[in-house]
Amino acid sequence: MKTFGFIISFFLFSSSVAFGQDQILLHPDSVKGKFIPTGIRIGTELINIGRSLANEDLTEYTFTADIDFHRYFLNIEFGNYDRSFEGLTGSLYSVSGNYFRVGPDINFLKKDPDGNALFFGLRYGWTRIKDELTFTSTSDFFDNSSQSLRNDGLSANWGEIVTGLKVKVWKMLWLGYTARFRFGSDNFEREELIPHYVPGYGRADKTVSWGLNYWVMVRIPLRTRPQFLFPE
Amino acid sequence: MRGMKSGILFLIVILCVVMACQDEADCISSTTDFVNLRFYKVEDNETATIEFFSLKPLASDSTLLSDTTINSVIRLPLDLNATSTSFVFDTEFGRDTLILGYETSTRLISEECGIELLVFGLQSLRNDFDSIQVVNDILVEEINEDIRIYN
Repeated sequence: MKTFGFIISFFLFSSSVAFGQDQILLHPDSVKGKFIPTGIRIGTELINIGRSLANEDLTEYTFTADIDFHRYFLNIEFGNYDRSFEGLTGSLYSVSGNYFRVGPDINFLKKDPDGNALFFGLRYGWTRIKDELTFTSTSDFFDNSSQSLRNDGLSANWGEIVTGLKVKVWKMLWLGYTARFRFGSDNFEREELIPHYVPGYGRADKTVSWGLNYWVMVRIPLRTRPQFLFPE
Repeated sequence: MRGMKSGILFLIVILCVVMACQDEADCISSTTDFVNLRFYKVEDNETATIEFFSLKPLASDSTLLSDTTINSVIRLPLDLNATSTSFVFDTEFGRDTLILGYETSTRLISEECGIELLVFGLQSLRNDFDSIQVVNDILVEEINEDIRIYN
């Protein structure tokens, strides 16, 4: 509770400091102070929360943070995935792992006074996979046997091309989405147990995959956003 | 404001695309745990008809063939609980042993489709035939010749 109170106080303090500053006016060609960050946005992903609440076999949470450098953002995303699949044939598969994504965005709405962003960017993703498959091997010629296979330390990395929106809704509250085109993950076809799902990427047998995240975020202002003097 | 409108329009398009592309697996699996052997005559490389008295895997009580004549091709089941399977051939050429080695991979296709077993790295560990050649080391249904045996 104390921690929660401290976080709220910090937000209010930092926003009052930032909002209390005088307006900074810059010429469009000026680079002075342009690349000093004006705020940090932190948030969480809503679709994964909804899916986790609706499906008792799935738990996935994703968090995001970004910081601005003029019209560029540096993004860091962290997620946790845990899911079990029960196959009709009696097989049981479980997979879990943490994943990270990091990469830059460029904002095409550079004149927006609120800092709303229509962005395009790149991500590098990385995860460590822990999965296990239990199944019964059946044959008309040999003995049936129950088998359990597992991977403890597989890691995967991939690239992403992303685009999306980040929109100020009310005071420090922001909403946004990110559409992703993911590519370049290993399919692990030489492993004794081939992972079915790569946390943060999607189905392991896909050489490319699509994804969509919908974010709710809080922006902590660090300083007043410079306003650019555009010629009449 | 124009940028905002185009952004919202773009969001709707992206949502439609994502909703249309559900990430569901199909249940098509082309893998198999049977290996196809084709017999050839050593003198002219033509396919051979072989008279079998019996053909048995060592790790099983099953008899795969008994007192029959085959037209060059037989399908042998592999034991997926092991990394090799031994077969004893009793043919018109006498008794021959064939030990096949391989690796296996397993994966879940989906909850609806169950699991898929892949056999790869097929090789002959031991044989008593004149010569043997592995022409395909990854077992899939579409391929009907994995090993050539010359007798």
